[in-house]
Amino acid sequence: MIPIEHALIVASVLFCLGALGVIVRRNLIFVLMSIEIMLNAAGLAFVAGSGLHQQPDGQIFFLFILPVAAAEVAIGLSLAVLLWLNYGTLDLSKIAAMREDSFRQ
Amino acid sequence: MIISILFYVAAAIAIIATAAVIMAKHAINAVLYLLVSLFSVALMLYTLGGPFVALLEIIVYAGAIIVLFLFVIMMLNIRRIDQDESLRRPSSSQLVLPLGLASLLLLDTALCIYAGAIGSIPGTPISVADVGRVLYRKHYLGVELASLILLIGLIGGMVLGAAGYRISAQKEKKVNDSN
Repeated sequence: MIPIEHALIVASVLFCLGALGVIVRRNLIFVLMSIEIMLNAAGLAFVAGSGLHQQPDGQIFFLFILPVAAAEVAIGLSLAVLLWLNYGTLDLSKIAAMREDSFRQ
Repeated sequence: MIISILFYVAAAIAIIATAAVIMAKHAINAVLYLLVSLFSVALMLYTLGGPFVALLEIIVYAGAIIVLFLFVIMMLNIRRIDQDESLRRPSSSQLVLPLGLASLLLLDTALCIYAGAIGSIPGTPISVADVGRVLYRKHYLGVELASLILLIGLIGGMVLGAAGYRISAQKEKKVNDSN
């Protein structure tokens, strides 16, 4: 028997760590990994709810999070490759304005 | 009993490994810590009564997404990716509103937990047959939408990949011309 609060606390700690990663890291690869962590934490909370009510719907929502995460990481990583080819950097603070003249070497 | 011990051990490993991901210096270390974190989350999903989603977590996240990350890191220049970072320091006036809202939320969560037990998760597994039955009877529209998302991801990856191919071909041509 696991109290639901404990599962939700773990999920929120993981989500906060992911959000912290998005805020403090400036490397696109690390930002994408942090987004994966956040999606994963949301899925964990869904499955905890499913276990609490003994209904499969929460697990089905986890199944819907999976393709979103997969598509997001595929497009995100191909954008990372494009940024690398165009600018030679993955540092988001150097390409934040998305304008060529603001790009600092 | 053994199930709840497994849950707490997996939770501790997941939190430590996730903290290691966001603090890692090298991208390759971060990917490996992320793998550990995903495996422990899969164990947690199992102890919460979802054997099917635990397997899917390992297959899709650890099997597909981690491999994609590793592939891109290997393809780009590893040494330069690791150096490629300027840490951002937000000013204190920018931090006031987000921190205030976050501490309000934290207080709210603490009050909710203090107010009393909502319930416990027995950890009895929900069978794959039940999940499949509800998925295809009640949520079939969601299945179609998920396939649409995957199609969009496929097309997006293809278009962006073609653009990257064009850029690298141009660069190669320039190098050849200068020679």
